[in-house]
This record gives sequence, structure tokens and C-alpha cells, in this order.
Amino acid sequence: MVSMTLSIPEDLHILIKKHSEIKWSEIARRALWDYARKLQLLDDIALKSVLTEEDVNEIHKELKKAVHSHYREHIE
Amino acid sequence: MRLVVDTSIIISSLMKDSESRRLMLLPDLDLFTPEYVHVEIERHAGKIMGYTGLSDNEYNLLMGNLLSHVNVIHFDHVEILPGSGFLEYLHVWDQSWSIPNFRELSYRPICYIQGLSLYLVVGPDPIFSMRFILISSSTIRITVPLDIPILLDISEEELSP
Repeated sequence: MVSMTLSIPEDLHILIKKHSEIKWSEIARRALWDYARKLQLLDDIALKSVLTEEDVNEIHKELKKAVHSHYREHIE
Repeated sequence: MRLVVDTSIIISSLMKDSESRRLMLLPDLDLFTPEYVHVEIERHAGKIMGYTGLSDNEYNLLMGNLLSHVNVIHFDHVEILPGSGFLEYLHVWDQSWSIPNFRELSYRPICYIQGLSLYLVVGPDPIFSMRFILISSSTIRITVPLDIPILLDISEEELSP
């Protein structure tokens, strides 16, 4: 196990102090696990992606044209 | 920090090695994008998925998670301005911000947020030049095509007029 030190806002600390029955380090540990697992899952999926920079530009242009046409409708 | 993300940022987050994805998943950023961006990403889902080579489930999981980090700015909060009005705002911004190459943005479609509203200045070019817009709750902050590392290196305090 390694130790971590967290900085929290004063107003959060006031709330936390009202519930001393809660093991807040466990809450933090679970939150860290959840977020880390999610990042790992998304990285694993993205590893399979064959999307290229050129593809991104092409899709971007197409989406922007479509979005732009919505806005133009509101002007005209 | 609150940012408006462009479609290119969202789409490039689907790439294998993506700095955009790292940025989009930073929990201390509040990201925003106009409603129509979400609508069009949904409408083009099949095509985007085809480019990525991901399965239905993989694409939905990845895109769904990414978009869950982006707040939708509903159209009720968007005010559309014609591109011709952009110079008026450029004048104000130019005095407030010493941004290199700012004038290159003239007549390009660009959007910014003031208070709770998103303003879109729509010009003849459908490809928006900006990538991110840094916003605050009460004042226009900045609207330039900044690269991600530069933007992350600048604090809101440093950008204040």
C-alpha cells in the first residue's frame, strides 16, 4: 500500500467532519478505483481504433457543415 | 476551468493515442458544446464508427463516456449573430486581449459564451477555426485556436483583463 495526501476545500471538510462514522479514505479509494478503471477501459477500447488524423479532419468538416447549416437556418 | 470543445476534439478523442481524450477525461474541467454538435454526432454515428473500425458496443461505450463529460448547451442559451457583426466584437476583444494572430479569425465562424449564453458568430466558412473557448461565468475570456498544451498552461487569473 502507498499513502496519498489529498487537499480538499474548506466547505467540504466541514461537511465531512459532521460524519465521523464514515471512513472517508475508503470513499476516496473507491472513487479512485472507479475512475482509474474507466480510464483503463476507454484506453483499451481506443487501442483498437484505426481512426487517423486525416479521417478526423474529414469527419470534422462534415460535422461542421451540418452544424453550420443549422445555425444558418436561424439567421436566414 | 470551463471550456467549449470543438467537434474535432471530440472526434480525435477516438484515436488510439489521443491527447484530446486525456484532456476530455480530466475531471477538473467543465466541458461544453452546443446542442447541435451532439445531434450531428449522433446522426453521423454509423459513419464515424466505420472510420474507427470499432464494434457497435465499443464505439457506444467510448463515445458515450466521452460525451458524458461534455455538457450540452441548449439552443435556448445560444444567440446566433451574423458574421458581419463579428468585427464589432473583434474590436472589443482586440483591445482587451493581446492575442497573437487574433485578426486571422476575421469572418471565420466563431462562438463564445457570455454569462450563461453561447454566442455563435456564423460566417461563410462552415469550418470553425477555434478549437477551444475558455469561458467564465460573467465575462468573455478568450476565443482563439489555441493548442491544447498552451491552453492548459494558462490559468484563468493570467487571462483576466
